[in-house]
Amino acid sequence: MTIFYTAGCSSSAPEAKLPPLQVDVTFNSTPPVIGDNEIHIALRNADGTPVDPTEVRVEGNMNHAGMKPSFAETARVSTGQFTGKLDFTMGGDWFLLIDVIMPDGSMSQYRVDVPGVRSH
Amino acid sequence: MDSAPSQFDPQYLPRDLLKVRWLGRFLRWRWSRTALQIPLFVLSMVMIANAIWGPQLAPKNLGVLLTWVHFRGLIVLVLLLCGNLFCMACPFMLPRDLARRWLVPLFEWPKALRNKWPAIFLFVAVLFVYELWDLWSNPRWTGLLIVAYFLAAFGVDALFKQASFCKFVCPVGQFNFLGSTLSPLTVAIRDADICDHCATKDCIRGTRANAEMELQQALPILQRGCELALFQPRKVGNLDCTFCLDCVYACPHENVGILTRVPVVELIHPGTRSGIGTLARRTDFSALAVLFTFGALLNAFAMISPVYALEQWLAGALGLRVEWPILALLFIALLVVEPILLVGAAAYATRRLVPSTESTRTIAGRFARSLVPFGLGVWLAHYGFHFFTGFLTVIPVAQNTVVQIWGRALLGSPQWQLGGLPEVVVYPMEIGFLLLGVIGSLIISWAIAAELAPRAIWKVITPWAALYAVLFASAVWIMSQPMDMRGTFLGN
Repeated sequence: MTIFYTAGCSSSAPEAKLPPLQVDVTFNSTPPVIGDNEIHIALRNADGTPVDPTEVRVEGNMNHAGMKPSFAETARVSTGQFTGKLDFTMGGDWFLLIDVIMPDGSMSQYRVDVPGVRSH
Repeated sequence: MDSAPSQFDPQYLPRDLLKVRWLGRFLRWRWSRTALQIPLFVLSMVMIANAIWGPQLAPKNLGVLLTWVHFRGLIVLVLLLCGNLFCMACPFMLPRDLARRWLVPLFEWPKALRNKWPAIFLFVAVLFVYELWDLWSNPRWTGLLIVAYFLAAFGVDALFKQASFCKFVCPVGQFNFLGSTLSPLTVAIRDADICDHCATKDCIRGTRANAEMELQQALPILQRGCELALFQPRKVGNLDCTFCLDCVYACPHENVGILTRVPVVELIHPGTRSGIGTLARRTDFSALAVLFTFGALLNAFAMISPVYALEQWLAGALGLRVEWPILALLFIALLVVEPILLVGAAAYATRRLVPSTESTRTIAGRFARSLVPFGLGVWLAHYGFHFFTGFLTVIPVAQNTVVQIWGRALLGSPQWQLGGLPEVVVYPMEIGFLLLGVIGSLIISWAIAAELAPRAIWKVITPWAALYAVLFASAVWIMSQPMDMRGTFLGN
């Protein structure tokens, strides 16, 4: 399993109220490949305690314009753990925009780079 | 082989766009070019603003999307289907045209630079920085490139007379000139007899305030003539023609039109062309044709996995950890060494197969223009891929841009599910474009072979057919590889 780690970097969205989170993203293959990949997301506070959002949405983009983004709806597995399926439509460098929505409605967006998605 | 079919052959009856009802009326209006330039200028400003100050994520940035997907895709398609309409509507010329109402350029373009070498240098430079700085994923640098282009166009034409920027500097213009040799439309005279009896030659000299010849030089120009030095009666094809229509407006006999024609045939013409001379003797044009073709292959090659493996290997072999020398080596290999080897081999083989007193270099110069159709085929396949697979993404990106600026979905919520045609549909189109290019190149090669050795055409053309087979195979291989866009040097 390859871990793509990013320190929480929230977007400039006015509704962002969350403190920075640790967002760990793993895939079922290393590196991810073209097509459907199982994605696992673990969310923790800065002190390492798990965060329990209501919803986690994932948008995958290539760093080249003109590519349709891929979206993944995720399901909660346990506290701070979410899983879903994400379709990488092409090889190369991708980045994920992860929207974390808390029970009080606050939302933050985090970027995770996923370089080197391969063809099979 | 007979000489190139004349547009005035009784069997060839071209249509004239200027005689089409509403369209012709619009195009005959001397402000039609300005009317086309204004919306593109406004769009350019939006693109610059969004590129520099908008979201710095390429797939969400309107400036990046419109530049590297829509502009590039539409340019090649419009060249194939119509003509050099992008130069006609060029927004870079609008500030310069406005400024020339007050600013009078004082200098002639330097004689030593009255060739395509400045533009060739800039063409290579743009291709290089595109790869080095990953412009396709860098909104800010894309916006700055557009700004630099405006400044360069304005600066050159503020200092130098005529359309010096278009003719000698603009890399996009040179690309359009070469691509438009395959266009079905051309700006040309309707009746050669009328030109033979014309005393004023307004199409190139412009129309002055008084018709008396002795006063010509002292009076202000009411309508400029061709600023690219293309004298209409001697003009052949679309090379160096920006479709500005100054000749149309200047001609006192209304003898210039936008005529239909057989594409690619202009490349066969062996003689001199107004404003250009004899193509086969222009080393700079030959170099431009080579760059146009091998640059197309390089630009496509740089988007697939093997190039990263090659870069890694080179980096390991040379102990380098920075990209620019590796990239420079690739550019030298693919834009200089490879063409010299392949085109040189074909020219050498021709010289041996048909004993010729011409040197290998001269023969290569003769055949260089035959590369152009294949080159356009590769550009069409590559840019067409990005355009056809992503042309609808402009809708959600524009919607998202409005949300970012105004905080409200004034154009509706971004429809991110919109993309374009599936790859399985686009891939055969790419192969089709490549085949079209190869066929065009073989046609031109055949005509040149017939001119060189009318009794040994098959011997002469065989090495060139082999060259195009090799280039075609390499292009098909490139287009068949999965795209692999890496923003980081040496991949991961």
